[in-house]
Amino acid sequence: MGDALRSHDGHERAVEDVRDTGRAEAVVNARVAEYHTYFVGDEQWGFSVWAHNSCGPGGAPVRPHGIDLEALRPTGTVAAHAAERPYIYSPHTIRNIIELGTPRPDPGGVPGALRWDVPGSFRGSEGTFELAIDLATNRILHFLFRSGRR
Amino acid sequence: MDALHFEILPGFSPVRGHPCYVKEDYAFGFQMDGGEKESRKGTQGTTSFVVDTLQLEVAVDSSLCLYIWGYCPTGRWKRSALSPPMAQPGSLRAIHDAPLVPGVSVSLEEMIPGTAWFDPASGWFCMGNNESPTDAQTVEFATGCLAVVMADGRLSSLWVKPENWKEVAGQFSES
Repeated sequence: MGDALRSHDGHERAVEDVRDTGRAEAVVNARVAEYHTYFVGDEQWGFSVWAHNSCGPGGAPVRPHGIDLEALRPTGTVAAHAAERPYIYSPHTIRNIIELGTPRPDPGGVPGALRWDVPGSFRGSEGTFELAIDLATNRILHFLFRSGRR
Repeated sequence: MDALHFEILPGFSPVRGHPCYVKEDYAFGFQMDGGEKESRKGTQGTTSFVVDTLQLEVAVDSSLCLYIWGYCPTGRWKRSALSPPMAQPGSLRAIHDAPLVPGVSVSLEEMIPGTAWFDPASGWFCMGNNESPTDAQTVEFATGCLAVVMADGRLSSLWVKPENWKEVAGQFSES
């Protein structure tokens, strides 16, 4: 929450809430030639947001470090606490960490797992986002924001 | 006293629940008993104190520690014959200069060494100093969760005994 999204009229709108509707809905991965970006919205919404489709070179799905971003899920333990702390658990943030950070083999010792420690800020605190993903199961093993620099 | 330290509140009831180790998640979990969640977590939510990736969940409203959980693969555990210190039931409260912020975790690694110990014979897991200082006191602040607090208010170690410890011991011995 709080992420600023660019609208077609140049304004920015902050994400105010993220909710699970409990409904499974069909989605499309629309691709626009050349730039792959477009504004999503309609008159009923009263606003639009600038979006990018999910693809890599040649239109292939993006799999940074071999991670299937669309299918990435937390473990049951992480999910249970994400439900308790929705203010920290942001799929958008996790995706940014994966795409922009540099991972290393997980020091926790799980074979094939990767670990990110990415500097950032959250709720006015400077610190580090910590993320560990098990590539074998495509699951998030660990995610938190720790205040202070490591 | 350091800016962050802890105190034991002997008259308070420990959090009731079920500590466990979830093998497929490589993690400790804790299921609070019905009614505990609403009464303990307060209105502002929670955050955690962190040693390595092990977390000590804390309610922001009350600064009371709730339980131990988090990612903690057995591959890094060291085998040791552990004798948990005698613990008194109570609550563990954090005392801090800077306010706790929901979702912003705070490191405990200046207090607690990030060494993980496990005793497959007793089922106890210990993070930190597995030999308690003589001037320390120990509190069972949640079912199966202990904290060793030194005279200066710093934590020396965190202990947890998962209810499925025999299963965990079997996996640990095979690894």
